Amino acid sequence: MRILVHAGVCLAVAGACAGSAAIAAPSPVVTAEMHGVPPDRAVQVLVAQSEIKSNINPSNIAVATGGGLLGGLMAASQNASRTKKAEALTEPVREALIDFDVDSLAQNTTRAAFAQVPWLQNATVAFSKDSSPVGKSGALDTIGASQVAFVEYSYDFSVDFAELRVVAKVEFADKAMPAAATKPEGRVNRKNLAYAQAITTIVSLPVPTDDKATNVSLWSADGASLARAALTTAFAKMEQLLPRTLALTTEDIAAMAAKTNKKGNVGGFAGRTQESPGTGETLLWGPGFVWYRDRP
Amino acid sequence: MLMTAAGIAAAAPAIAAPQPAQLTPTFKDRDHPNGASGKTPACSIRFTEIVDGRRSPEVMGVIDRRAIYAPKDFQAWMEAVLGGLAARGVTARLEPDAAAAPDIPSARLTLQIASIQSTVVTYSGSVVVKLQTEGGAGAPLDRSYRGRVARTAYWSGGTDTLQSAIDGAFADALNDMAVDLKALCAA
Repeated sequence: MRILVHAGVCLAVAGACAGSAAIAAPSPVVTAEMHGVPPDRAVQVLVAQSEIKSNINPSNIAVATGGGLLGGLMAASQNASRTKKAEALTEPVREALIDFDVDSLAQNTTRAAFAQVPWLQNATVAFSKDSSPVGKSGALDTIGASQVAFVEYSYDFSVDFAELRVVAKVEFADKAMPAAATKPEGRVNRKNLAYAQAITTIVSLPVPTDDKATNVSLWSADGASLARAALTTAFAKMEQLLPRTLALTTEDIAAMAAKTNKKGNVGGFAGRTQESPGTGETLLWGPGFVWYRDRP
Repeated sequence: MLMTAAGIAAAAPAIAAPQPAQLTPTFKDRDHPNGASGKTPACSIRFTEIVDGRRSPEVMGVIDRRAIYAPKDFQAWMEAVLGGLAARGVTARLEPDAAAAPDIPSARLTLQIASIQSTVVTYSGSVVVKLQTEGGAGAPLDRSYRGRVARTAYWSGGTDTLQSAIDGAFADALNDMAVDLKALCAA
């Protein structure tokens, strides 16, 4: 049963974590040696969604009731109810954003960002809606480059609809099959990636309220002018943070993650506070940059 | 033991990547399982053009690492969906030639969005269909209809559930479309 399978996998992972040796993770930095290797690196921009997503606070009934079939069914039912309400709330904004082309914005942002990175300036930039492992594996074969830098974007509202968030996952995958992989999709498994980082940009309503419906009406008013501005701002900041992320060194990350930096939390994302970019702005290191602005 | 998301992902056992789900160009109407029950509604609308206006015609979404491919035969798919109007009191005639039925209101249908996404174990299907009409009673239509439905994948997140999600979204849109289309047929 799908819900219990999910719970079972989570418990198995926790068990494996408790006693296992460290498992190789992709590099969080692009070293100087990686800049020109391989020389034929390509880029693929991925945006799987067609419209802005909503969010819910997942039910914890299953945990509260000690798990089991009944708890799982109750949790699924509660999640379904919350999802229906969230989807209904999101509709006016989606309606007003029907002609706003986020796919093109994502591609233009990535091109402009990578134009600032000397070792990526000549990379061809492709686009796909298929961010699945099978899709990425297929891209590795069809694009033909020795390595593909996947830049996968997602955008959604926070649970209370006070913030609009954009997340970019940057992952470098090699076309060659890793020694231990048995299927082509293994090339995009996290443990086989050459590099991985994530960047989050968050824009808040200027005056958010405690009422979700009110927040949605603010985003959707005047042809969704605030939502359009927020998306534009979020992607514009992404254009700045992408090259900055790719230029990070191990020392940079250690300095940003140092416990001497205060903890912060913005838009549901936690991290260590970095220098303030400007009035009304907050920058955290999560890991991964998390940038927040209090208005579009 | 606290772990970062990256640490948990790295420690996860290797799970085979799910293969894409391919949806079919069909329409199963849960609201009207018996269709029009053999009756042909008197109100007829002639669809002169069915346009694919989607930015993403191949992929409808990615759920649980699995891509959902849209039906390959777009025309057949839309014809199946428009067949659902019969149970709602409207006969959809697919006749591009205006001379074939000059007295019947005509319509141009554009599919703008057809997508499926998931939130925990709930699948949400969404469609946006634009309708532009000429002729008939009252002012011509030039508006979009949005349909959405949620399906909970308790037992299976298989292709049937995904197909049901998009069928339900279309059914939702057809309900509103039929109301406006029947008004065109009003004497």
